[in-house]
Amino acid sequence: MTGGFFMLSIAAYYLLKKVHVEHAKKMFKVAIIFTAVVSLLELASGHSNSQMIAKHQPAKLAAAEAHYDSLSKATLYLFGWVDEKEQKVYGIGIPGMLSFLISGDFNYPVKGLNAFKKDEIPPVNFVFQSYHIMVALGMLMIALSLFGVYLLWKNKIDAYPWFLKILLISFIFPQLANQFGWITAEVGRQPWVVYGLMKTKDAFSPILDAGQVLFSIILFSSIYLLLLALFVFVVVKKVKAGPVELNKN
Amino acid sequence: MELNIIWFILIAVLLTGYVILDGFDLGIGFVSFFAKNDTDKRILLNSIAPVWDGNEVWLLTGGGALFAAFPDVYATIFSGFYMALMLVLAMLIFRATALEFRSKSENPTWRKIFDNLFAISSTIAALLFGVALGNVANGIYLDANKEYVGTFWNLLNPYSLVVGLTGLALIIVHGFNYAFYRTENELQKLLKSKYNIFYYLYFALFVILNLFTIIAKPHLLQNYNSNPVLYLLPLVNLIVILLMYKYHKSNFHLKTFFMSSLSILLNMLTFAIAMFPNFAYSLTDPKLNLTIYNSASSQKTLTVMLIIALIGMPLVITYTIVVYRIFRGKTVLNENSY
Repeated sequence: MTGGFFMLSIAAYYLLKKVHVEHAKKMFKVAIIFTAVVSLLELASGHSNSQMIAKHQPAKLAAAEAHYDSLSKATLYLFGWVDEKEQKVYGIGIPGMLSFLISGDFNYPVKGLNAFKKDEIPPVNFVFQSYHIMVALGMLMIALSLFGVYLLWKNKIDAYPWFLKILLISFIFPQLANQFGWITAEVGRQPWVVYGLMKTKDAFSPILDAGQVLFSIILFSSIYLLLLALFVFVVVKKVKAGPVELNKN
Repeated sequence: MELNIIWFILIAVLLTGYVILDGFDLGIGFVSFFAKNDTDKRILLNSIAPVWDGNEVWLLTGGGALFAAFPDVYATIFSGFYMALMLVLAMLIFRATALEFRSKSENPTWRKIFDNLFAISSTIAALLFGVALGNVANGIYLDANKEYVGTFWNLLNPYSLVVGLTGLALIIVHGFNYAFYRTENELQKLLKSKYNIFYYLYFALFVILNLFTIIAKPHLLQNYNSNPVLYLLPLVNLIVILLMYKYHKSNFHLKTFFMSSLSILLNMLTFAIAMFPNFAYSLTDPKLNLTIYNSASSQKTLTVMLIIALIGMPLVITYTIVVYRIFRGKTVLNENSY
């Protein structure tokens, strides 16, 4: 998906600028079919991952959906805001859907956060939000690629400039979804570093002081920011230069 | 043979492989200082282009094997040498970045920055590896829990610096030898005019390091004193180093390169024998030395790892040989070059 949307962004750029149009249409065709297939597959893979998490890291799943009491008909939220004190979610959700997705039965009781020790659950609203942003981005990408396939089928890919403008920035969606997915996975696992076996606070190297760790964080953040800047510079240059004619021998 | 001993040998083999293979491409980093124009710089970069990242995998597998087989050594060294290893890591990233990015723009300033970055980071990385080896041989401050209690500045002691400089000089000579084999004409002539000083430097440091060890570091001589025939190793190494110069003078480039590879191998062997059965000597109390017994994983882990290594190593050795065969001979630039 990352590759597909990257290609779509470049194709959209050429189509909007009306340069390299023939190339851009070919790129669009390949990339949109590819992203449509892969984004739907991603849905299946996400579903099976969630089932695995429900089995192996139940606290993470419960936090991702802010599911407090181990009741049946567990709700799957589309979006919402968690009041951690009152253990309430303000938002829109489908009752029973979480139970159904995990077990195939709307009445299946999903283990809730209150079934865990108070100090063995992650920050709920944080995980809830990052998880839902990831899912929403996934849905957005499915919608974009299906609409793109529809336009391709109708032979109208450059008929809607607003759509091309969304595609122009769409390279960032898989990147963001990826990052929010990581945040969900890593924060959702807390306070464990190895789930159920070792807590993060026990995994520190006892002899390192905070200064050394801060030094390395600053060092590597600077390096990565620098690499990002270089990467953007080189990619923008290449995209602006346009496709290269291949030797036909 | 005991599994602990087998794994000591395997890790020594991986690290030796690393120094021989990545050694010449780190050395090319230093050598590239001397290339004057863009084409010459590119020829040197592209002489290592197909192999440098594969070479670095040997370090990864060495570190990985150490982590799995001797976790206490890994934990102590990697936390204890934290700042130094973060610097090594930064240098390896700079090096890779410079290699990949330098030809992405025609701008001479851009290229100059990356060329210098490549040369400097390669040189610092090469030096720091040697300093790290010097420290585990010289000894480090450990507490009763096998934790490092020294500081960053303790790592910069005279013995470790001599080891570091010797290693750097050897890697530079090794890089030159590789460059002679992969280049021709003016560039080769230019590089040859710079060779002698680094060769003599390595020669001198090699002698100094061995005398320093024999005079001042008796704890490294235990295995040698119980098997005095092992004292022949540094002498054989000396002959290899002399032969290297002879082959160099006769323009046998491949043979010269094999001699520096052999010299690395003999140095690492000398080093491994001086260490065995320890991974790191303790300066606080010899009882706290990190050994192949008090720092090892369970026998079951070592057995499983051995099976994996027996499958993996032949594959790695095979593809390494194949890649080097494909890219043998003089380096030629084409549109796919860096």
